[in-house]
Amino acid sequence: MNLLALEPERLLGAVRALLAAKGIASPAEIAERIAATDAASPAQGARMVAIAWTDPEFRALMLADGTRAAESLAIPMRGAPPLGVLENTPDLHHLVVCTLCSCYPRAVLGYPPFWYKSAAYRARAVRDPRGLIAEWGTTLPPATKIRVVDSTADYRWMVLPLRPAGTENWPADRLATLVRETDMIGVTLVATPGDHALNSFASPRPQA
Amino acid sequence: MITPGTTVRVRDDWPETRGKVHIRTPHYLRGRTGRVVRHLGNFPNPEELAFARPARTLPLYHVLFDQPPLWEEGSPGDEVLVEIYEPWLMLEQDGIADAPPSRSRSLSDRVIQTSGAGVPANEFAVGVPSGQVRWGAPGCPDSASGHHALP
Repeated sequence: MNLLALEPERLLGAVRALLAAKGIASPAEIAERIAATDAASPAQGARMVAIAWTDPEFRALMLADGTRAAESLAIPMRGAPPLGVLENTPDLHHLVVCTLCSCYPRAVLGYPPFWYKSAAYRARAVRDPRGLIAEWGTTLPPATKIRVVDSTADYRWMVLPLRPAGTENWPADRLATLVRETDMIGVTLVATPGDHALNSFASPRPQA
Repeated sequence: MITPGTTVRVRDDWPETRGKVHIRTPHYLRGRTGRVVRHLGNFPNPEELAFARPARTLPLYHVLFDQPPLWEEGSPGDEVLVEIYEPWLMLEQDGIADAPPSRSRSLSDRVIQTSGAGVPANEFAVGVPSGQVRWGAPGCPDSASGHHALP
């Protein structure tokens, strides 16, 4: 007999009641966790990036302590691993991978895209990072070095990408619409507004 | 505590050849020389947590490596930045200078191949019967949530 298939609601109710009765997790705590999971999406990370582009004080906080920066925007971080933020510059580009499994800053980026967990992405990111990001159409100037960040342990890492040209007078909420999860993993660069319409996938697939 | 800027060598050790283990030090860095960038904090040792054993709290460092030497290919100047726990790092006085990496490409290739099709690197799979790979690694909640259904 498969309880899960037969009476899932009843089973869930029983587990919830037991968790509460044993003092492991109260209904309020479970509700809080569900709300936090539902709220987690790349839009949260994009909001942080856009504010960092427009507010030097927030940018400094975000680079020093990503968790505190997220919490200052009411992004739920309780129970999440510490968040580290990697600042791209014209000379240095970051690419995040978890070669061991699929560590990902879910609190601020949501679920990882399917390819992030693939063996191919994980192997190639450390071995051939330039060839890998070229498949997203990303080419860096030769003078820009790549720093591959292999997320192996207790931190979670997101990239603070470069602000694109042509957005000088944009407010943060408009800037946030430009920032994609791939930009915050480091496989793409934030497209300049004119180019963005051509490449506006939420999670672009690598080109064949 | 290891000071930022210190040159370190990752231990050229392969505990996965000796039994059931959980390791957060990627195989491609064993025996390699890098530079400590910063101390990230202290965390319970995942190698012990994974087996529900009492876990020591260990310093965790961000260590920077030149990328091209790792694979003997790539673009000069590119780098790999990795979190590594202190017991895996050797300092100069531990014999870093006269201990070239003994790992050969063939060894790492062999270890990867034994982990099975579609199953990520040996760190999670060694010593576990096929079909019973443990994904529930503490500290990596991503892997505990059942999203590892790789083909």
